[in-house]
Amino acid sequence: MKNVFALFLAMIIGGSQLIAQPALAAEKKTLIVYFSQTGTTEQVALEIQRQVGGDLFKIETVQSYPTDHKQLVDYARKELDAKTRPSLKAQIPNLESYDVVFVGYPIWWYTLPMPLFTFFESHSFEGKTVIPFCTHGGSRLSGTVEVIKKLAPKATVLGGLAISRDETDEIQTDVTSWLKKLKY
Amino acid sequence: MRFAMLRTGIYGVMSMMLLVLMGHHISGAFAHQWLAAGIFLLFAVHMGSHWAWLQNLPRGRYTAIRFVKMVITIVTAMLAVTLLVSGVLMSPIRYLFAFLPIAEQTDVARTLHHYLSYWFFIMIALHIGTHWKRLRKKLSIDTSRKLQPVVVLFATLIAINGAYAFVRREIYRYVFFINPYSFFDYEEHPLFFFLDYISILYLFAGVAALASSPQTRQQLLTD
Repeated sequence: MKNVFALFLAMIIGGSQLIAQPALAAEKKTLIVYFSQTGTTEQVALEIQRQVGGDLFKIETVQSYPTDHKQLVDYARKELDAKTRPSLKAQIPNLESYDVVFVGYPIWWYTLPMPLFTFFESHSFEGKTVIPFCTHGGSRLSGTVEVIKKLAPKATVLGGLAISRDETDEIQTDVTSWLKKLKY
Repeated sequence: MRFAMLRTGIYGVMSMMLLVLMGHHISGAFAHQWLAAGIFLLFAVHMGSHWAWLQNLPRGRYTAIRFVKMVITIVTAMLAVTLLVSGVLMSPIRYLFAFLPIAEQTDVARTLHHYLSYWFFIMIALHIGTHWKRLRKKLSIDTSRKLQPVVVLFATLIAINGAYAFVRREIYRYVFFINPYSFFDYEEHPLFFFLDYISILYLFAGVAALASSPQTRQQLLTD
């Protein structure tokens, strides 16, 4: 009888600890995933990591993209038309251990680059908070938050950050005010 | 009269199609391409039915207004063709033209299509504006004197909203080749998008209508 009571007590204490844990922001495990070809998105990813901590993961494709901008745009158009799902070099090994996942990408042809489709379709974001951020040439988020909501239906997707490729000197202040708005 | 009404009805439909074409994010790519094909067909009919105008171009005396109207019409037509070609060169059917040296220039096609679409929108507004009086006459629209202040008030409000939208939506940055990509606001209700674009169309058409009507210009000069 004594044992049963002790077990019951342990369950209450243990249970309340489990409930209490996620409420502490510091306990949230953060991952910053990004896809970057010219380095702008990487810059934003690094700045987010500097401000909130967490781990970094770079999405890389098996087949590399053209480095010349014009060629890259034409190539990306072909991929978009063909609905290609480019193979990725690696999967995130321990995605289940993260609570919050920042996902960064450039806007290509007013939407996500095709490798992001491969990425979302090959990982489960169930129960996680996904926070998109993008770099762009004037289109801003261009509806990609809605696209991500569809690709990760069981995740909580928060409002995204859009950084213009022409205003990279403002990355730090933009990230700061965005995180404040997200109450992160 | 009945024919004029049918014709004007088609102009109305074309204007609405144009407004939807400006909202690529609202229609989506698929509807955009089919609407574009449809409006181009109507453009072809429009040009065909105005063949006499083309034949009469070398004839008669050229006043400043006639000259400006002609330039607007020709530039608008040229823009329409450029938008069709650049649109096709980005669309999935561009593979049909793979034999052309320009077939894989999707980046160039997109940039042209982006900038010129806003120019086209404004040129269409000017084209409508410079023909507004003729349209009114054909439809025998006559605003009664009593209603005139109300019409003027509404017209002014729409035009002011048009000017505001032109700046707020940063369309001037597209027109002056500053922003190479459009910002499409997916969070905004389409109604606000269309109201603003109607206002912009109205603003440019109104300015053109005022500028091309001899009476109004005389009034402005003598007042």
